[in-house]
Amino acid sequence: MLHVEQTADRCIKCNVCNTVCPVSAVTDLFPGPKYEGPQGQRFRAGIDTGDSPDHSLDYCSGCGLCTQACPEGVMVAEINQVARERLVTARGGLGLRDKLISRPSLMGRLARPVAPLANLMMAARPVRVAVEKAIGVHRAAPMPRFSGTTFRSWARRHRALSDATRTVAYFHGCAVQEFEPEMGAAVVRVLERNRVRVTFPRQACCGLPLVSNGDFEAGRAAAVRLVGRLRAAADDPGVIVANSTSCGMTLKAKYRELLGMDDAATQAVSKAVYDICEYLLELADEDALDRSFAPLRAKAVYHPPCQLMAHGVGTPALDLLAMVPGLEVERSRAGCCGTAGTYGTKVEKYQIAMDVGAGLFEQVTEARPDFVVCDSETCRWHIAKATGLPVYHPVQVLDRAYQV
Amino acid sequence: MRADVVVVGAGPAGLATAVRLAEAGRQVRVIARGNGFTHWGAGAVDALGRLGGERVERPLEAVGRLAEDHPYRLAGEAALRDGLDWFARFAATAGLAHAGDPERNRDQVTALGVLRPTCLLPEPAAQPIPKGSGEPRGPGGFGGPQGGPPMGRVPVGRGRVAVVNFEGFRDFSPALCAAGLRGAGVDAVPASAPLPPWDHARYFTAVELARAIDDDGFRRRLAPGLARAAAGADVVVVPAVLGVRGGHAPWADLQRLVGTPLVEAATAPPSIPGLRLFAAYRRRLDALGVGWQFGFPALGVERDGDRVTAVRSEGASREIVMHCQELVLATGGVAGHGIEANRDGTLTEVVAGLPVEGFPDRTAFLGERFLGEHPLGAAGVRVDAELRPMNASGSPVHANVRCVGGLLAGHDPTVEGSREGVALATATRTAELLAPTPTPAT
Amino acid sequence: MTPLLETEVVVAGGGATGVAVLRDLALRGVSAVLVERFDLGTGTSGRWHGLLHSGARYAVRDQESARECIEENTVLRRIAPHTVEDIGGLFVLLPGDDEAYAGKFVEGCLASGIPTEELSAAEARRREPLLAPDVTLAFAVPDGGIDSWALLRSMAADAEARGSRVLVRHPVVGVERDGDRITAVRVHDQVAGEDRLIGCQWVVNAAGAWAGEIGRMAGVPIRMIAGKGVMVVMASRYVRGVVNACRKPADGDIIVPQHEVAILGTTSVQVDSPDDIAVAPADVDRMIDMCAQMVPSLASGRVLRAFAGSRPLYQPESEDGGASDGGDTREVSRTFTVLDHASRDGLGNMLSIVGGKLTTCRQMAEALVDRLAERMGVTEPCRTATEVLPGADHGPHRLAAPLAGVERDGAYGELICECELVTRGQVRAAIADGLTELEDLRRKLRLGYGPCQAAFCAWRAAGMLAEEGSGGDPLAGLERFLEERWRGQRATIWGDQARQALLNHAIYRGIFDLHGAGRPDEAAAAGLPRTEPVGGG
Repeated sequence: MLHVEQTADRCIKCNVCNTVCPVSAVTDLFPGPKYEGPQGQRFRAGIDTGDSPDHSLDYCSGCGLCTQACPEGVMVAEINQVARERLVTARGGLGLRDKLISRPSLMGRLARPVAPLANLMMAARPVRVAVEKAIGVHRAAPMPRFSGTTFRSWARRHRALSDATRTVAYFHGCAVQEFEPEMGAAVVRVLERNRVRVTFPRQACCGLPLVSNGDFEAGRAAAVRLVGRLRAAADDPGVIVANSTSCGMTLKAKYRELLGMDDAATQAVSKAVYDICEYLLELADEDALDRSFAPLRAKAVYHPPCQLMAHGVGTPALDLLAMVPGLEVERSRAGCCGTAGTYGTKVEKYQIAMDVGAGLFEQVTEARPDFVVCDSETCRWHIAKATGLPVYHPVQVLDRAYQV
Repeated sequence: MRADVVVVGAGPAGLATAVRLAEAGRQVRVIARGNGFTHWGAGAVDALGRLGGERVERPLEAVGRLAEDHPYRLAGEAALRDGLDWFARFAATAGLAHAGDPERNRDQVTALGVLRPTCLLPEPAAQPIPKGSGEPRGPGGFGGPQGGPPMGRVPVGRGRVAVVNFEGFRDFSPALCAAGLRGAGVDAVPASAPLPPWDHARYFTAVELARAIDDDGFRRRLAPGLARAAAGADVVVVPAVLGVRGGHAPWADLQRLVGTPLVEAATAPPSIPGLRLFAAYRRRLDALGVGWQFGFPALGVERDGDRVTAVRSEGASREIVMHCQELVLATGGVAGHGIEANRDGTLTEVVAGLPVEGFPDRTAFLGERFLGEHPLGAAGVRVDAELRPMNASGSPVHANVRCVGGLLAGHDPTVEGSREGVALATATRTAELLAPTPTPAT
Repeated sequence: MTPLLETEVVVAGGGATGVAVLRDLALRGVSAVLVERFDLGTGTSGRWHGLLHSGARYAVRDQESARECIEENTVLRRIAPHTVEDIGGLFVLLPGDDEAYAGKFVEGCLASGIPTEELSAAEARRREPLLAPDVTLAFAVPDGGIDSWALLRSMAADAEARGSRVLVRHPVVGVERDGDRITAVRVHDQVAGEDRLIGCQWVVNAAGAWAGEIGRMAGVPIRMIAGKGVMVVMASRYVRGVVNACRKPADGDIIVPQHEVAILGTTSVQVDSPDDIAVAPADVDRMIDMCAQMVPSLASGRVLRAFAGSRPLYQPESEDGGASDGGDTREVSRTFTVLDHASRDGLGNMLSIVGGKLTTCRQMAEALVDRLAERMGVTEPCRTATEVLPGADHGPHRLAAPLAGVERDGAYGELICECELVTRGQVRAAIADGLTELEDLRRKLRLGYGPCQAAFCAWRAAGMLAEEGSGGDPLAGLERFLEERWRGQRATIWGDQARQALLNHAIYRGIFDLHGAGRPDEAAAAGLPRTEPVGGG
């Protein structure tokens, strides 16, 4: 945490970060990353106890494009996140809405016994209006459908691969567990197709929504718990794959950068995490990837999530999708789809999220693809709602191409 | 990860090198710590603006007078010509047509009113500024209470230039620009044009204003106020904010609506013309299938004998190792963060530890006057005629490493006004060296 | 030459002491004119680290000084809270430090009336997260930070509101004597470019380190030793309160946070002239390396600039105390001296005040004005310790105040200097108040103080000056300002700051094509101050 704040020193005020911020592009409520980050940081030293000077900071979506664009190594988005934590603390902690939406696995557990009813209600306009008025989740924000069965219950029944050449542990995350178990099944199938055995270590929410909303204390508790559960897998099998790019990013870097967790266990887990496409491409580099994809004659637009770019591995999905014959892929020109995790679900930020995504949605409209591909679940739900098209994780496309 | 050629750096040199190599048929990946001099420049293509402090009129001719170790001498005059030529075609294809002739420099208007020498100018900045028809008032006088017409109303006259800001835009002062222009003998008068109501009234920078001007409805609402502010002038100078997507079309449309030539003056960073160019490069990279990782510095290399076998770059939790056949370093000198200036006066090339001549102590880094010359600006890696970094004995450090752009020793791109030209010349030479087949026309 | 003005008292010197004297006189109903060669606070008062002394630094060796400090510390917090950062200070013990000194430190503080609290290493690090891990012990004291320009502006405003006059850019060039009395002081009006006379009955020499020069002009010998101290300004704050090394005062033993920066101090070397403000790279390295013992991340931190100031050390004629050239001047006492030249030199109507430190400026002024009042037959008592200064109702300065202000007003679009959050409205008001130079805007508003060293705000502000028609060639003014900012930076530029410098060069020379050609050192030509003052450098 201290290290992140000290990177503010490197800022040469060149304005590059301001040119990529998707939020300041669409609203003047947010003065941009240079102002909020390294510039504002000099006026926050934690000595004026009890109150945070910030207000506009709340509009930072945490997309991280500024940190990537900065040529000097200022961790702009992370500086903002640390400042947000102070703001939240000064305000007395998270409000009810943010407490709820930061706990997807809790919401999933509560809704699961009545999943069909819950889904029906969350699709009903009067219910959504009431929810918006009560706690501030925008009525039109896409809500994933609660699954009646969890991914882990599928995994328990799944017979492990016997003739594997490698083994990986799978960090499936809350979205696969509670909302999209079929997505997790696709990950497993694709790995097994490539003679990779998949284990399912006991796990839990990575805590990212808590951290990004500004509750570092609860986030740290979640982090410590998850690291403890994944520790063994970091040594054996030594590779932990994640399909949620934001959760993967959280494990790779956020525990260290934002929560100051620099112990040996956290380091071991961080170094063992691979994004699923990153891992599959490494297999391909070693000539260990099964390339017998059936042709998929379709056109797709691929949007790399901002949190994927933060991994520093480029866009492995593009290289993988290029192996599927007949599949035409156009790359999104947008840096961020707008939703930024839970940000776009909030009543005061929903329109900003939609305005940020407008360029992407226009590109999709013009391209007239059959579907859209995107590695992050919250992005998928947001893009699907806005475009009306199906949106898949790259692995789901590969799974399809293997199956046919 | 694997690549054929890795280019480190995404400034003018890195981008041009990556595109030319890909066009020549190599498979390229670009790694860069972030954006750079496309965003920090004047939005023009400087070939050679000054030599020995004197303004250069004919840049190609002047190349012969440069020292032997100057990048232009090493890359060759033909590479500079070809590079400029290629760039003009590339930019035009991308909707960013440039005017200019490598045989002769031209003037570019800047936000402080000084006319800087450059070689190629994007069309929105290319309209010549009429000089000498009014009496130069010298630096002391400027419009307003002390003399000249009140701001906003420009009387009719031949060769009159209206310098117009958009109300509320902080990064352009028409009074200052007009004062500078008058010092150069231009009959310039300041004025201001109101912005129509829009969603960034409370806070905006050049970027938001340029994006608004991308919208044709906004332009239509903007034009009458701009025309009124400029009434009677032969040329209107405005800050360089006329659209950032859509190439030069927003400028052309606005010019048509106003009915008078519009000239974009170069402003301090972020350079909107630079952003246009950067976007065009990015689209070209995507179209050519060049993978890129922006935001992750290259940290080191792996070697086998005298060859570099891989580049190591920063990843979220692990270093990313990218195996490569060829490595091109386009990391910029000290300014570009390709060379670190250490506290004790030494210099370090940050990716491969290439030899760089340092200084006895750090007071030698910089000149006595800020606006003078700074040895640190000219510091760089010495290369041979094939752009390979040399060790002290003059032989290449690695067989498969080249250096381009600001990273090279023997020139100060700021002082001599040569940044884009050196980028293009060395990119061209590198593409020739690494792809013997002729580069196809774009 | 006919007198420009007639007044009772002329005060020479616009530093903390001179302005405090002016205010004290005003509160006692005495009419006075202050004359200053450059601008208020451009001498030692603008070239120091900004420490509001608790006195603990003197507790072991100079308890008289220590007591004065703690008393005035309390007074200043009362009368000028808006100039004070209420941040506290620590004296930290590192391994290798003399533990016996720590004992004497505590005793000395007790004896001087300075409250201290002992903290364990863990407690100290909770307070200051960046403290070195090997700090063993710490003592908390009521150190604070004080913004000397804010203090001077407040005191001057108070005095002017009560009828005094302040004439800046009016250096004293001579006096007119009639026998044993000075009848008038001759000053040079720098703006108008001609000499003027100020008729007076009394003269106060408060020229600090330059007191000897005033003395020379008046015909009386005053031996001043210029004790140069170098300070290094870091680009960010690092510490919440002051951090001192708990040992005998030496180089590099104090870190003073000032607004958004930290100032590392200091050295102490006798030099020939108080105008010697050169800083050598070795000094900078020494400051960083020494202070990094207390806060290790300083070693890899970004330096904004370094500057030097001269302590105004008085050497009494009779002794040969103090050091020879180049020696350590810490041994010379820092308490102040009032010189009554009537008894000392046969000059009937001049008093000088020499020595001292900024924390005790009010007290120094009180001592001098008491003496002067007695000579003048003025019976009004001193009220400067109880009358609060204008602006006091704002309460103590908060670091976050500028950011909170911009946030509250949604004024993001109004920022001219983004590093220091200076708005268009503030610049406009300052220009309307008569400021015409970028350097003045810098001193008054902190414009250009920040890490980017005026990369953007300089030409924005130059544009605003041009727009208000503020006379002169705006481009020449901009070039002059840039060169002034540049002076003295070469000792501190490497790493991040080198990149900043080259980017700035690429902007001003590369894009804007400014060369400063044909513009020899304008600052000297215009007689402008060679200033790199305190509070963020």
